[in-house]
Amino acid sequence: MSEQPQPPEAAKSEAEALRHAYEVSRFVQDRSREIRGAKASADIVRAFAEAARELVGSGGTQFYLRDAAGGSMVLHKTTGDTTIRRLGASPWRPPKDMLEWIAKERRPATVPGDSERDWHTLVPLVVAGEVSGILVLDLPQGAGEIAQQTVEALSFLAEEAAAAILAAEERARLDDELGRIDMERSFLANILDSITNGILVVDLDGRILQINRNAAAMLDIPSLDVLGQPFEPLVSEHVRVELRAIFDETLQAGFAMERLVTTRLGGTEFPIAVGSSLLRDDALQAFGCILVFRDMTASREMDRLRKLDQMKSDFVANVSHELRTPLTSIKAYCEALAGMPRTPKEMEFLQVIDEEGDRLIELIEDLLDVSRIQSGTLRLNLEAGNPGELVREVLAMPKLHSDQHRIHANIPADLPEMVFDWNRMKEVLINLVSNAVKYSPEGGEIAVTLSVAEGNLRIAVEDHGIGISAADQASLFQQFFRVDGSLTAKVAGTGLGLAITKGIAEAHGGTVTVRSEPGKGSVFTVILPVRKEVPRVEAGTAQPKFG
Amino acid sequence: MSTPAAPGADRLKRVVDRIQGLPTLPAMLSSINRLMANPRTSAKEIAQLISSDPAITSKVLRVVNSSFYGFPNRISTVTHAIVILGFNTIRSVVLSTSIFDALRKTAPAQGFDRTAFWRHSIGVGSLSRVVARHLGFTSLEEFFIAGLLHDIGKVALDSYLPEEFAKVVARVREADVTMLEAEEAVLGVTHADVGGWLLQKWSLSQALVDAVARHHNPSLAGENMKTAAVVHLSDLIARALQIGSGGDRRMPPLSDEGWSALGVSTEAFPALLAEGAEEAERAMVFLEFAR
Repeated sequence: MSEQPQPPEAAKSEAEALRHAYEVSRFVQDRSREIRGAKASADIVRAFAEAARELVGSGGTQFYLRDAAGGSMVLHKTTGDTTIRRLGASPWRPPKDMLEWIAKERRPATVPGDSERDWHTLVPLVVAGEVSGILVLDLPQGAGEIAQQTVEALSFLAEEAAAAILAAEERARLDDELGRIDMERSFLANILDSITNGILVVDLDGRILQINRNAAAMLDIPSLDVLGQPFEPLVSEHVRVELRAIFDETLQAGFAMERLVTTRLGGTEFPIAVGSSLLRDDALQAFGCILVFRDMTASREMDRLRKLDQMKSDFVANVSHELRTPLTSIKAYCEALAGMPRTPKEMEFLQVIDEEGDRLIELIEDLLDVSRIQSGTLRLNLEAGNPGELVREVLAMPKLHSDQHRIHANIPADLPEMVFDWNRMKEVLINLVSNAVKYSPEGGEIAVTLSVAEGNLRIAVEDHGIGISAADQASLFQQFFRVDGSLTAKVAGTGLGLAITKGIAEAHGGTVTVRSEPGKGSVFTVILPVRKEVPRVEAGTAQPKFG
Repeated sequence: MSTPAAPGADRLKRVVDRIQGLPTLPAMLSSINRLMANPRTSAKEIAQLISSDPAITSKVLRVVNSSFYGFPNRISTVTHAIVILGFNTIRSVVLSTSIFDALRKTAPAQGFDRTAFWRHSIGVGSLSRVVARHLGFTSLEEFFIAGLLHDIGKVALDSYLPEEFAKVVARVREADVTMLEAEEAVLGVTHADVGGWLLQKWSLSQALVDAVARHHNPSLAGENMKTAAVVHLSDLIARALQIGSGGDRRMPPLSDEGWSALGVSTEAFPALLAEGAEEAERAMVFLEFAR
């Protein structure tokens, strides 16, 4: 600037210039306050566009943002009128290299568009040294006429707008982020509160960092609003001592063995298992301790039920033994009486007593078998034998004979010798064949088919009786299960036969399966592995069923 | 305007009093300054002024179309150049070409390689621009000029006190000292002092004067400390990158205060170096004006 005294005319024009500069600076101040006051980026761009229109008569703005991957500039939004362009002409968009040039220059610049009268001011949005966006302002006049001051005012306002937009975008991003964090937090809080265990997180000084509802309930802490407080004064004397010990042990050893602590809630004692682990940060530095409380009331109930079940099994076994002794006497006296001279009527009665006694013995044997199978103490008497002969022997038994049924056996000639418990397998076959007879009241054919495939013996017993629904098939092999229905009600049975059959087959290392269709009949198939030798008794109880 | 280096002022006066017949800057520069002082001056008015000198016009157009400014399209008129690159950029282009013009006419002394010197000066100029841009300054052209002229005192000494300067150059070569130390020993003043004095004589801004006079000791640059520190740092970077030569091989010490005043992060530094080296290479377009 010149320091010499000014001639009056120059002084006048300088005063004029100063006045004008003052006006422009007032205008810029007002507008920049307005721009900075707007919250949403759309409002900011609008405020800037209005200011620009007053300065240079322009309106159109384009706003470019660098895409998320840090790649090219992408048009984000446009505002304002494009009336200054020729009708039908598409709006000018800065070419990519122009945008990159501005990004590299990091300062506003006015560049030509399509023609001498088409100019645009490009303003980089610089954040932390990086250009993250560009604001483009369409100028409506030949740029040569624009005064330096106007360009500076425009650049200044554009930079204000750019900063405000970035702040707005950042605010929006932060809002999103906060929303996401909020959601995540409530998700975690929901997990913590829905989990059946109590969870208490404390820092190294024993101050509560996190506590869920169940932990508060189990420890009788009335409010969840205890974050930051030491846990010790909040719990009862007895629990405090226990927790303190677990806490200290955890800090020393990194964990503490789960142990049982009894808490008292409203006069009732509750057993609670307390486990713990160290809480570590990302650098694996311990900064707290996580205590997990498990309500043991439910586990105790399970224990009680298991014991009850065991007692029941023992009871059945004992009673069955006790029942068998008097029955043996009854049978013996019956036989003795039958050997003496009797009237035909007396003989008839004795026969009934004898037969009913047999039925009772069978029932007791079944009960004993079931309890042996359940307790895993069923002993097999394994001997080598021919399963074909076993089938022939069973089918020859008079009690399986029926006038209405034709039973035939398909026994291949080359069946191998194998080891099995002859009497138990006989029991299985009797069960299956007598079931086939019982549940085909119309009579018909019953086939017992033996085959060997893939090292397994298959015994299939097929009838054409009433069949079993799919629903009933599922529970068919459970003890005391009987299919409901008018027919089955007439058929005698304890519901133990198939359970025993299954137990015996499994004791042999095999299975029983059923394939059936109501109204068409059933096929029960026993599959046993063909063994040539009696398996050696393993040490311990690895194979207790092959005793 | 304050004179730089109050304690050494007498010695400086004794030295510069012997510098006679200094080249002057073209009148156009002060006309441009006068026009730009009026905020309502349009690009067209300044373009008209520049276009009145065809030699400067062609130089300006050559520079603005060089890869140094890297504008993607061709800039065909001075008006466009002013609008696109800004009023300040064009002023600094006119200023730098004028200074090259003014100093070109002086005869070089023995043992002082002017081409290497200008390479170094242009390098420091563009590095100052890069560093300033990195630090968020907007008046980048002033930094370019400051860097470009930081060692101009050497040219002045070389041209107008050739005998003493030859002693300085010889001492640098023989005693393995920095030029600064040699100047102190031989002349009692440094090229930085003389440069600051010269810029003041040319009526350039106080920021430029301080940046040049204090480019070896930015802590003394007062309110223009950051500008001086940018030039100081860029001088060392140019030496490290071996861009041209300032006439000596020894690295002057880094001013701790200057470094911390700038707050350049060490993580950003490698990228800054790479960008600076690239831009310095592009700035060598100015070299042709020095010949």
